[in-house]
Amino acid sequence: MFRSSVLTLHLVRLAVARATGWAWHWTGSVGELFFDRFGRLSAIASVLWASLALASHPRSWTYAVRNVFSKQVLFTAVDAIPAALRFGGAVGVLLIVQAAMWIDAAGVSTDVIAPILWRSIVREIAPMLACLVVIGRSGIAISTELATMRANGEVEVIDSLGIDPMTFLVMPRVLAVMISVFCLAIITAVTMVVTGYAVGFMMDAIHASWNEFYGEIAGNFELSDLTFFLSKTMVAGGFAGAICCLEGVNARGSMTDVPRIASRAGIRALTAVFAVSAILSILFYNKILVFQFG
Amino acid sequence: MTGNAPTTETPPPQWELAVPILEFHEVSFKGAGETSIRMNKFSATIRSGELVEVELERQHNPRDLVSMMLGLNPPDAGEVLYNRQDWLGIDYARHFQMRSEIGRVFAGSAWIQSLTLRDNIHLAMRHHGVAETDAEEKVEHWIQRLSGHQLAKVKWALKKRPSVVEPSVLALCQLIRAMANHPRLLILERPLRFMLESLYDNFVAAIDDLRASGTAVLFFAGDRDEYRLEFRSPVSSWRIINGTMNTNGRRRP
Repeated sequence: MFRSSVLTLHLVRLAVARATGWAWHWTGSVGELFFDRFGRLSAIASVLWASLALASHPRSWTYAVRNVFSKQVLFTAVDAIPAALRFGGAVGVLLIVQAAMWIDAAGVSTDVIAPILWRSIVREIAPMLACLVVIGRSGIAISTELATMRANGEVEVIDSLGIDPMTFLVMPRVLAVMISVFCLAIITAVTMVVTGYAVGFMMDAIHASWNEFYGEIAGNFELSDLTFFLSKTMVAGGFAGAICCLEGVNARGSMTDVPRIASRAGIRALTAVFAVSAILSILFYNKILVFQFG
Repeated sequence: MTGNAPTTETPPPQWELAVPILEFHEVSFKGAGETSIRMNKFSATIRSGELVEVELERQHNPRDLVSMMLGLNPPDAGEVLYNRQDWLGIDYARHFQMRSEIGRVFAGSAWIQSLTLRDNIHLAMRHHGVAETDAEEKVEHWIQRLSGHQLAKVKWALKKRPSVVEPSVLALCQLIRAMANHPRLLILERPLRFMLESLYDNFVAAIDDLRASGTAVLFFAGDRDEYRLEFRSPVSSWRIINGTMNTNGRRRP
C-alpha cells in the first residue's frame, strides 16, 4: 500500500514536471515569437520614421540623393504605368460584369450600384492593385539590388566615402515607392472605371450615358474617399518600401542568398500590405478616423 | 630636467610636432576572419604629412581593420581618434563628415556597380556639396597627374561601369577618387596591386605632394616592390608579426 502510494506520487510528480516543462517551453516559444515580431515591426516603423525625418531635411537632398530618387520614381512609377493600365483594365471588366449580374439579379438601377463600385474601387481595389504592381515590379528589385550591394561590400564603400546609406540608399527608395503607389492607384482607379464603363456599355450591361455614369460617381465623391485613398496608398506603400529596403540592407551571407532574400522580401511586403489595408479598413469603417473629418 | 640646465636631448623632428590625424590608444581588434590583421593594445599616432608603411603578407586582408579605423566597426577595446575626435556616440552627421575627409583605396570591392566610373568618382564630392565644376576640375587634375600613358584608357573607362573596365585602370580610378577631394588622411590598401610599374613614379610624386600639403598617409603595401618605393622622408613603418600590428618597424633615414 505504502509502496504503491509512493509510486503514484512519483508518477504525479513526473507528470507535473513534464507539464510544467512543456508549459515553460510553450510560453518561451510564444514569447520568442512575440519579441521577434515586435522587433521586426519596430524596425520597419523605425525605417519609415527615419526616412520621413530625413526627407524633411532639405540638406538630405543632395545631388546624388535627388538622382537616386528620380531614377527610382522613373522605374517604379513611370515604367509601371503600362502594367497598371493592364491590371486596371482587366479588373475593371471583371467588376463591371459582376455589377451587371447584380443589377439583373437584384433588379436595382445603376445609381444604386455605381457608388458601391466606386467606393470599392477607390477604397480597396485600386490601392491594393497598385501595391501589387509596385511590389512585383520594384519592391523585389529593390531588395535584390540592396542585398547584392551588401554582399559585394558596396554599402561599406558608400559608408567609407562619408555618405549615409540610410540617406542615399533607403530614404529615396521608400519615398519613391510611397509616391509611386499613390500615383499608380489613381491611374488604376481611373482605368478601371473607364474600361468598366466602356465594356459594360458595349455589352449592354450599362444603359446610362457616360455623363450620367460619371455624374453618379462624381456626385458620390466625398472627402472621406480622398482621405481613405491617400492614407491607404501612402501607408501601405511606405510599409512595402521599408520592408523591401530593410530586407536588402540587412542581408547577410553571400550572393547565393540574394534570391532567397528577394523572394522573402516580396512575401513579407505583400503580407504587410494586406495587413495594413485590413487594419486601416477596420479603423475607417468603425468611424474612428474618416468621419471625424467629414 | 632641472632649472635652466642645458640639455643634450635633440629636439624632436619637425614632423613629430605636426597635428595628430589618426591616433590609436590601447586598441585591441580581432577582426572578422582569419586573414584579418589584429591589434593587441596597439598605441600609435599618424601625424599630418607623415607616411606610415605597413608591409602585408599575401594572406593579409586589411579591409576590416581599416573599416575599424573609420568607425565602421567598433574595436574590441581601446580608442581610435581621427583629428582628435572619436567615433563613439550617435552623432552620425559628424562621423560622416569626418569620413568625407578621408580618402581610401580599397582592397577588393570598391565600386558601386550600378554607376559609371565617373559617377562613382564624383559621388562623394557631389554628396558633400562640392560644386560640379570644382569637382570636374579636381578629377581632371588627378587624371592628368596619375594616368600617364593610360590617359586615353582612363578617359574611355569613365563612361563605363566598373564591371567592364580592366583592373589596372580601376586601380588608377581608385587613386583618383581617393585623392580628388584633397583628403586629410589617405588610407591605401594594396594600391599598386594591379597598377602598371611605369606609373609608380607618378604615384610616389602624387603622394609626396599630398603629404607636403598636410595629408597623412597610411600605406598597406602589398609586396616588397611596393615597400621599396622611394617616398620623401619622414616615412615610418609598422610591422605585422603573427598577424598582429606592431609599431616596431624600421624607420627610413
